[in-house]
Amino acid sequence: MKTMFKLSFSLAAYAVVACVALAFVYNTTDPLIQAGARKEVTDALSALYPEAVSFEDVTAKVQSGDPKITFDGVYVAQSEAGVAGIVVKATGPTYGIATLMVGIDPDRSIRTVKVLSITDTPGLGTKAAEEPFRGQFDSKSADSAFTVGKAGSGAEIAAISGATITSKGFARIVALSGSRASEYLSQTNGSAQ
Amino acid sequence: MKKYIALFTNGLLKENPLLTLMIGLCSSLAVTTAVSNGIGMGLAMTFVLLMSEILISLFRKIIPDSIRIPVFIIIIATFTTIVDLMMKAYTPELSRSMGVFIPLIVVNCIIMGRVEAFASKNRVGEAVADALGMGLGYTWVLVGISIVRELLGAGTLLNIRIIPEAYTIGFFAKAPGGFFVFALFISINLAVNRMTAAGKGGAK
Repeated sequence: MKTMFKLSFSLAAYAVVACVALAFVYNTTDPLIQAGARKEVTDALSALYPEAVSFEDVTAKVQSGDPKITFDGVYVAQSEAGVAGIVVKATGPTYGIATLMVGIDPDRSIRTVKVLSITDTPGLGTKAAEEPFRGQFDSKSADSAFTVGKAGSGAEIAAISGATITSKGFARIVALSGSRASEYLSQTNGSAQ
Repeated sequence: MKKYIALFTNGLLKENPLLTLMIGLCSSLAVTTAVSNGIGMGLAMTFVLLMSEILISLFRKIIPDSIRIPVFIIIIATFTTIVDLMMKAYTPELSRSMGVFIPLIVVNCIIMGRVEAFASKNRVGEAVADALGMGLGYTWVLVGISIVRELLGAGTLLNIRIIPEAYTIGFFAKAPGGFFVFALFISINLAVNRMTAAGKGGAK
């Protein structure tokens, strides 16, 4: 019994010293890590909205409403002239999993779509990150249906041949991001202006 | 002094943790696709090994024998977390490319092995020599493997292009290529050790 107390006491003593040391290191490095993470997000957002001077994090206010698609981050880009647009970082199922960054202008049109990561089959599904597929979304209205079909079939988005599931999943993420974000933007803009 | 030099070179060559003892291999194969990763991982590992060996050697008389392993792990984990946080704060790029392998230093068998087999039984000076030898021994092998792999696999050295992209061999950037290069290093080290041993035998 006595040795048990002795052993637990000395183990606790080592743990306490270690915790105190770590607390000091954490307190000095944490602001730097946070600043680094913020800068990374801002850099990525600035690529979509170079004219923006600041980005407001509204992630908590915009929900995807689809259990399979998550909005990892939603940011309103503020330029000197007012709201420049809204950026949604969304992750959802394609054939694998894709994380996209969708920029939507205040006039409800998609500015551009950036692929941050996609785990689909190399050479097939990963073509979603390349032209001509990716560029098809640029300047489409966020209210359009984003129907996916064969090239020339009249569908809004021409699917990648051999990767229809990827194409559909991709379009679904863009469509959802577009509609939810422009919804939010029109609500808040309406009340603010 | 001679004793310390012997301990230091022991880790560097004769009992190199990777090439002779063959411990701590998974991290070494996983991160050696780029030279910067090799240097970063090697130095991070050397730091944790050095600090843990110093502390454990200092406290070796007051660490109760029956709970020594948990105490070792607390000490190693503390230094690993310090390194991890420092790298995230000051070298975020490097930290991202190493991913999970920095936190995994906690369970690296080189550190556990040296701490248990050496630092807990020897004085601080010897522990420092051992840690530096083992740590730098690990580092130079890592850098060596990553030089070969980055040069042949990606055609670059420290991100400076040396071989045109069309002539690179992607195989070396993947895990099997790592095994091949690693095996090559083991055999060269064995050959060198044999030769030096034979030379000594002849001199007698």
